[in-house]
Amino acid sequence: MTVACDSAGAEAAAPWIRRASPTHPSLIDRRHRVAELYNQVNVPTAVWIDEDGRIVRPPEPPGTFDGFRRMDRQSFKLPEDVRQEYSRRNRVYADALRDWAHRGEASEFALAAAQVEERQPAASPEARRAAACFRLGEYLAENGRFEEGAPWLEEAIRLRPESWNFFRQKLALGQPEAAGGPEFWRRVDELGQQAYYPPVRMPGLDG
Amino acid sequence: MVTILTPNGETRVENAVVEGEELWIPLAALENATGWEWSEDGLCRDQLCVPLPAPDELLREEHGSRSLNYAAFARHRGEPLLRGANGDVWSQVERGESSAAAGLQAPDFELPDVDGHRHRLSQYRGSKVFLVTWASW
Repeated sequence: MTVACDSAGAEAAAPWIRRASPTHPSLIDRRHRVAELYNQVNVPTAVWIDEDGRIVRPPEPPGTFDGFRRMDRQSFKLPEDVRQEYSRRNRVYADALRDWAHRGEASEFALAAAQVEERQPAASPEARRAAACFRLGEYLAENGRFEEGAPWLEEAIRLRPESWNFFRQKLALGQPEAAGGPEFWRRVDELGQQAYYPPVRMPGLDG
Repeated sequence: MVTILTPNGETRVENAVVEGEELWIPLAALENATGWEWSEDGLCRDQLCVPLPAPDELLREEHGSRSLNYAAFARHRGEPLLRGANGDVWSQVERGESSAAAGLQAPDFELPDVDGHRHRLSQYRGSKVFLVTWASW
């Protein structure tokens, strides 16, 4: 099941969904509700849920990593070793997913309850308030009142500075290409040695 | 006409009255608008009932029916409503108690697909779900 954190709605997400010709539900989440419920701050993020509705892998990047930071910002090309690493990591993650699909809780990749609890991102009053600010900003932007909504989007970002979703969505609402533009790259560069994506704690990836 | 944004959606309340930072909602419209049901014991939601702190201040009668100052109630709860723009849109903060994020159960949600058909996560019980959030941006 995919969920598009896209405040511009189906119009923005549909071209990508149609290209993928999915056989799975592809949902549209303008107000970033799923990110709030699961305490997610970036995309893509994956969660594994078993047949009883229990989380067996809490939010993590589905194999992806910070390789994009070595992209040539003019040509958008990745160095060959980075491209190969993306391929490798995607393969490892997909193999793990298939292992779980076939073997269920016997799969080493399905985590025990204690491990899930340990890896769960924490909720907080600031995050809940940030989400309510984001909803208000998004509603106003969605209804042609972007100037009234922008301060609320900014407040969401201020309350939850770790959320790349809020930061990039606000840029995109102002101008679609901006989420991958100079302001985005400036903020990425400000990370310095810090990670954009957290490590994927899986054998074959980041441990 | 006032719009209230809840974590799961939005409702329009026709006879709501905005007075500065205060938002008065007719009791008859309260549950639909906010999820809180009024009773003589106070306001109730899920398994929780909260007695009204100062009923004389939070309730008033207008044109034969009673209204609640929902903004004041939310402040009393420690989760003030966000008042947008000229008071025509308000946003509710999710209650801490209802957050399932710390537990093992995957929180439920309902969202539309590209064709507008609505799906709930819980309707896929019985299948494994690989839930991925992404964005066109």
